[in-house]
Amino acid sequence: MKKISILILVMVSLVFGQDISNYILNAKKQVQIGYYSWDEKQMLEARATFERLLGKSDRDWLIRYYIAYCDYRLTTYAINQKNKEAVKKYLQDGFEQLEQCLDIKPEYADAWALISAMYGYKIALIPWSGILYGPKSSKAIATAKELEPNNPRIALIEGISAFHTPEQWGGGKERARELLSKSSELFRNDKPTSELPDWGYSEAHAWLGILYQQEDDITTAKQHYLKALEIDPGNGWVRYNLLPKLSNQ
Amino acid sequence: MMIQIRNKISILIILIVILLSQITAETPEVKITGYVRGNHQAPLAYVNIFFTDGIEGGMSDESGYFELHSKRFGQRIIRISHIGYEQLEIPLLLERNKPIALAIELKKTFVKLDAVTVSASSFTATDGEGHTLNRLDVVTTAGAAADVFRVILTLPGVNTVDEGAGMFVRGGDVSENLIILDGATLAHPYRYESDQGGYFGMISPFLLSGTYFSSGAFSAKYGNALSAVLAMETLGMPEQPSTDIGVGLAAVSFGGNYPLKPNRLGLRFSGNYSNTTPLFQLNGGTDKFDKFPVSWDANISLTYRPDARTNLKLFNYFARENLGVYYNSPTFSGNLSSGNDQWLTNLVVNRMIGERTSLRSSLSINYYRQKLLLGNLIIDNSERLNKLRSDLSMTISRRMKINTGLEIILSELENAGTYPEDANDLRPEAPAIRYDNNYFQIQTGLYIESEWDISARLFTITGLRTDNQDFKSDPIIDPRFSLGYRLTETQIVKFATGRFHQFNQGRVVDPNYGNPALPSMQAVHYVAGYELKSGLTNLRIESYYKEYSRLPLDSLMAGDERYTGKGHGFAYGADFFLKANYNLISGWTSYSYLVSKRKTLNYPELVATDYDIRHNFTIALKVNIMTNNSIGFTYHYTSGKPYTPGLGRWNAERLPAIRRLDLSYSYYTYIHESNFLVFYAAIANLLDRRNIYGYYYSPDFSQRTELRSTYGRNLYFGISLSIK
Repeated sequence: MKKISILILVMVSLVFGQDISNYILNAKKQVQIGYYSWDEKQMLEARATFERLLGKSDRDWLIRYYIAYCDYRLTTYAINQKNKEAVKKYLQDGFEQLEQCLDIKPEYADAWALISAMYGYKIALIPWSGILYGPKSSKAIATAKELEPNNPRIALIEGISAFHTPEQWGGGKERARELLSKSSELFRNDKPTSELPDWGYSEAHAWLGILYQQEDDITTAKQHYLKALEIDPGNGWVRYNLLPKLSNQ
Repeated sequence: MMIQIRNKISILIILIVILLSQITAETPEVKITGYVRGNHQAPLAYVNIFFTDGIEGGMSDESGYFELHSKRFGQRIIRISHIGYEQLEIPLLLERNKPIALAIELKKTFVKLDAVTVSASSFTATDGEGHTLNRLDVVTTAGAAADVFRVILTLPGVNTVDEGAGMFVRGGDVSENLIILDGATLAHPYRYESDQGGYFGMISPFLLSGTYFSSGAFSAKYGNALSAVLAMETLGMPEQPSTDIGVGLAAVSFGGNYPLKPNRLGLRFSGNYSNTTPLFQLNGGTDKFDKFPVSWDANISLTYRPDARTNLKLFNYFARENLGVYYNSPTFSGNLSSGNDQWLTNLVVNRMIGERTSLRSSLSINYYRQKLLLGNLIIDNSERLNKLRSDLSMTISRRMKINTGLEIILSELENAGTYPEDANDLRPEAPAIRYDNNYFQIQTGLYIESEWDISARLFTITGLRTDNQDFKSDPIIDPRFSLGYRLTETQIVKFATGRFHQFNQGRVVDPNYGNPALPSMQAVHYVAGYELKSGLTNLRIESYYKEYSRLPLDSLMAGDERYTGKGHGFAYGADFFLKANYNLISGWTSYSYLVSKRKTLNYPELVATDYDIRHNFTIALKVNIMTNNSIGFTYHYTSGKPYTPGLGRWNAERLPAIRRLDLSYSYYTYIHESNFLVFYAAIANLLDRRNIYGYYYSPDFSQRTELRSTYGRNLYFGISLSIK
């Protein structure tokens, strides 16, 4: 009878565990759709789902990462809306979530990379604070690279950071091009496990497109935008913003 | 056997069917509806409402309305969560056909700031948000020469009485501050020490991870001193290897930070050699010195983390300095030569005990040797201060923390020399009193305090401290209390009070010439203030009143009776501080108003103290140009300090006001990605103003000479490179 009880427990865990996986997959998809369609509510709903999943499985490290990822996307939205209070709270929560994620799984490279990206937002808001947060951001991305040198999101985040950093500070367009191209190449060969983060492929090409567009290389820019849409046809940022602007140029 | 297996399988199948039917069967449900509101009853949208024992949940809409459905009955808990608001849990009894309607009000979570926010008059200098100044502010403030003490002089309530770094805080003497480094007391925290403090602080900002400065009414854990506390923390485990090289007009430095075993064992070291000869040769003033100021210091620290909960740090520091300067007074024109040695060894152990308690202990030895020769004033003193300090911090709940701790300080003093009978007569042949004594003191201290967030708006720190010297029968008991009330998310009003004691030191308690039985000096502080902290803007306005008693008073009688504890006094004033940042321009300004009077030592009546500086104004600005260029300006105005112009006319007149403008420029860039290069140049005293810092009088006050600025306008420059 004891064996039967254990068996039942295992089966229940499997059924429930399967549920958690589905919730993670759906919420992951939802935040991506929300971001690309610039829909705050969808992003918040995805965040709420992740929050409800906390403490229900042994994957809190991943769930915390996703909450922070939602915060990251919501920060972008809040910056665009010029909602400073929201920016502050999402960034603060994002850092807290990532800290807790890394408490559980210190070697989780994607979390280190996201920390670096969030410092990037702090610097973007107050440029002189680069002197303070720049080294912290560099350290986080260096840790991420050390843990997973071939993670495409790390190269993407580093590439976006280089795009916004002056050349004399280790950034610049050439450096950004190199990193974003590397990211795209790594994404091409990336086979992520379903629950783990897989965002960024389409974005890498969007950023490459922006880079070429700034250099007035319209043809290459368009190729990258189209590639971004080929990877993710739902990328509204490219479809409704970047590409139309390019056509008007 | 087969039948048994078949039975078991049948039972298993039945159980699974029951279980699955429980999960999937359509059952009646109970509906929970409600509205979520925030501050001022405003509806809150996108609030997450969910059952803690499941995944079902919902979100509120634009009107704050939400709807939940539960197919399970009985006791369940819903959690209401929204970023920026306090999370709420509500237990519900769910019964069939009994819908529930809720009206929920969420309270905003104010960003939990550390304890120092609650205490009045406190400033912090640490990287990160929520601190008054960051390390870059400390390093780039014009005129501060990358010196922590000199930056503190730009804060309100802190007066400067000469060109040095001596801190005279809210009407208190420079000796009335407690300076702590990683728990170790620094009895001589200045470089080129004088009775006005010293020229620089002993510890470089590049060694520090955090600095806390309180100009009054500080909490019990920091210790006992009449005026202020400066608590510094040195850097911990290095995270990545780096080598630092600095070359300046009058100094060279070299240092390194190396993780020997990542996150387990780390080494930091640095050394500085300073020779001011080129500085004076370039800027003039070589005629003022017999021996140019020369100093060197070195430090090395090892950090070891045997496990995730324990951290050990062994910090060692050594410094030596020498100078010979020409001194000109009506009674003596000649050379003042001095040389000081200092070393500090401090072992600090931090350990987490369980999830909510942390223990921190430090064992330090601080040795100081001073030699000075000036006419008939001869000093050859040495002091060894051994200290054990232990602090326990227990988090009782989300809202309450208890701190408790003890300290034991053993001081060995060996003093020898002569001092003039008349302080104004320094002639080598003039009458002088010889002293030669060795003595030993034991000080003990014990404290307990609670940090209690009574509500989201109201914070308090309540503490009690007791100190004793040489196991005397009258232990000191000092209550301390501070309260902060948050008016809005960005505005706080504060009140703090406390009783503070300080044991007398030096000649007044010398067993041969003073009164060892003197009681400890006492001050009672009252501080009330307002603070606005919004983003990078920080505004503070504070007023204070301090009452002194049991101060040493010279009765002019011989022997033990010479000094009594009947001195008294008071100080009151107001401080203003504003720090702001507009991307390209950042900086702060401070203004202090002060009245300070005492009847103490050889002042037989209540008169303005030597450091009763009525108005003190500072503005420190930094302009960032093209990301990696920065120009800084610092302007100081200090109204004249009192001086005694004749016999019996105690501090009856005032010196002219001190004005000074300093300028600095720095250019920083990365070389090969991560190597950081800084070029800096500074012009101190840009207006070439020769301020008067005092007068030397002849014994009968018939003649006087001026003590003026050592420097006119002077240029300093250098580079520093950090290789990673």
